Amino acid sequence: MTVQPMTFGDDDSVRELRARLRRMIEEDLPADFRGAFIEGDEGQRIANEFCRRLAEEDLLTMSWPREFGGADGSIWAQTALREEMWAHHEPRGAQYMGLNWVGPAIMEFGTEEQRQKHLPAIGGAKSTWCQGFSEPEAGSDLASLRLRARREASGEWRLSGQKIWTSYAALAEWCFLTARSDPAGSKHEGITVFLLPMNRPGVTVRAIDSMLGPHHLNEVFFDDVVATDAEVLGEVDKGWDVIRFVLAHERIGIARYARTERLLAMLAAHLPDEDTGESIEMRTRHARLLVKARAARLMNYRSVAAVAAGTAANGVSAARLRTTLLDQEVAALALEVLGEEGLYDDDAAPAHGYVEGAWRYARSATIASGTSEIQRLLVARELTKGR
Amino acid sequence: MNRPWPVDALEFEESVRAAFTQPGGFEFTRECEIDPDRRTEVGERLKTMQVDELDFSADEIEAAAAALACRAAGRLGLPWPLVQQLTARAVGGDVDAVYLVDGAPRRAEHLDLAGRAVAFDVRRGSAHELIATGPASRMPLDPFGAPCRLGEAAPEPPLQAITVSTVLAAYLVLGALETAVELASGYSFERQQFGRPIYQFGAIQWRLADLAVDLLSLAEIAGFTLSRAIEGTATLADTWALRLQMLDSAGAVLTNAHQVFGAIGLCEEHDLVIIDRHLQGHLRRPFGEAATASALAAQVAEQGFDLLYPIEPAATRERAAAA
Repeated sequence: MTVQPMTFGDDDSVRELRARLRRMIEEDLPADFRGAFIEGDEGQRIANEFCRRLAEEDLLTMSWPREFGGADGSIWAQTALREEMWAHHEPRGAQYMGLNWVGPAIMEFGTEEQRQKHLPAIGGAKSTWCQGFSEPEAGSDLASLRLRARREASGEWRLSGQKIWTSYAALAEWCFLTARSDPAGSKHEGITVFLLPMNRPGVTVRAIDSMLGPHHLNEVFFDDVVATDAEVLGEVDKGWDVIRFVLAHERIGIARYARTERLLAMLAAHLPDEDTGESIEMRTRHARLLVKARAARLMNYRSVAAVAAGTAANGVSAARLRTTLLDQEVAALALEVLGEEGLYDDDAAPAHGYVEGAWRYARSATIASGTSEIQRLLVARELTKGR
Repeated sequence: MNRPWPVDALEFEESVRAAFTQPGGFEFTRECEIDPDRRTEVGERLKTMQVDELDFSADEIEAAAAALACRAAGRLGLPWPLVQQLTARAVGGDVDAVYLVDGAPRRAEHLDLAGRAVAFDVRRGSAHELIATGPASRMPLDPFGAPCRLGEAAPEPPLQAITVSTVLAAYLVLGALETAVELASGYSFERQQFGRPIYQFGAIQWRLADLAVDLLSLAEIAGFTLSRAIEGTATLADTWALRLQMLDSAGAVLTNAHQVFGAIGLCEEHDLVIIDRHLQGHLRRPFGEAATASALAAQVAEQGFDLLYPIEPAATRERAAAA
């Protein structure tokens, strides 16, 4: 394996963009902002306002092609945007999903009518989407999904079944829904994707209380819900192609390592400087995690560079594995360093409770968007490809 | 932000690999353990190929070629003090080899072949002549160590010697680990248990995944630090970060590779044993994992560390807090 050395080093335009984003974050986000998904409406209000500001500055759809209202931002500019957003608790709220992969999937597979209908709304942060993928019996084995789509004699579709772990479902106006349209074929065949309005009769959302906070986990029930051919994305029964496209975007779409790096930088100021055994232990643990953080970012950049070059995104799963495990190690160290104060989420806690939130969220790092077990299988498969 | 390898450097690496693969690869290394005098054949061949003339400090092409030559040496287990000699060449001065040490070493790898050597004490910042007091003699985990003593104080090499030596050693270890990973993944398809290749067992796939991630991590940090060394911007914190990654990766890759191989991987006839035993000197000298982590933590406090949200030096933070 002869990988080319990868470096950091933004070019001038990306450096300028990063500085601009940090200024906006400092000026437009409250110091105690800890994400859009908190009790009450304040988080959503702040996220909506921040999206409006990004749209004013032509930064919301920066990554999109010009023909769809974007700015053709370079892949490294997109990377910087993702990093700065994620490091600051994703102030775009649920909109990041629409921008990162729902929009691009509609550009790739959608009809002209679907593009006209959805892209301006997503690009203007005027519609919120949820992802109807996981089911009670289809988690890591996504292709085993069973939510049934039956075509009636009238040509209409009827959707029946359940989705679970659906983030933002109660907020969403639209669902990017995967359904089993032909149960006779192999499990990767006979899947169809629907772009379904969440206010359609028969759709019921039930929130699941979780340690992640409000809106992150929901169940969604589909009880004989009507859909039309105009709401099918891509070809009927060929939905797995759409899903693969989405997963590829999703896996590099979140710069999780950026939040980890910010936490490591914040922790540096709290490290004890005595010469006691426990102080030395914390400082060396911190130093070890700095190295892992550097490796994680370089591995993620490797995947981004592969996407930019149009080559197979080898290493995506390895990067994800390194990043998600690191997320948990850093969160654990953060609690260790802050001790009791790390448990609190009030204004008196260090960094307004940043650490306790990071720790709770890190619990999901190795589960959401593909478990670390699945990532390991993918890494092993990549390593032995061609044998 | 890819920094493409110079084509000349890649071709150079390939020619080193080709030159040493033919005579028998690891078999030759085994023969050298029995007859250490045969190591001179390596030196002669490297000299013919002008590997000993590579100057890391000359330009990007020579720096990359030096790193890749070390990787090729690592892949094949070449018994020669290549890292020490290329470090001496990079920092100039009147010595043939630079050894990084922590205090006075009892033995030094291939010192009997290294010519005029200097020991650079990375903890104390001092330098002394390093004198072989006998020929190399085999110990299982130090197959080519020669007994030695410190001589007169010597002019201290520039600090750059620590970075160059660490980068080159990391590439040597990277090469060796690449071979270990190839051996382990290949074996997982050959070895059958319970009627199927062991690759098909999830536990084995986990092992392979973990060693792949650690190998990639080392490749990335090595490439990054090499780039900074070429630019002249590598800090001592960057250097110790690379060494720490090297130690972490070597531990994880070798442990997982042994588990994939099972008992056969413990046999001297197997190349994994040669890789494992021969790397231990590089992993312990000048010091091991705990000391490297301490050295890194100290440098991070003193110099900071470059991340997306950089770690400021402790003194800078204290000044800011006071203000």
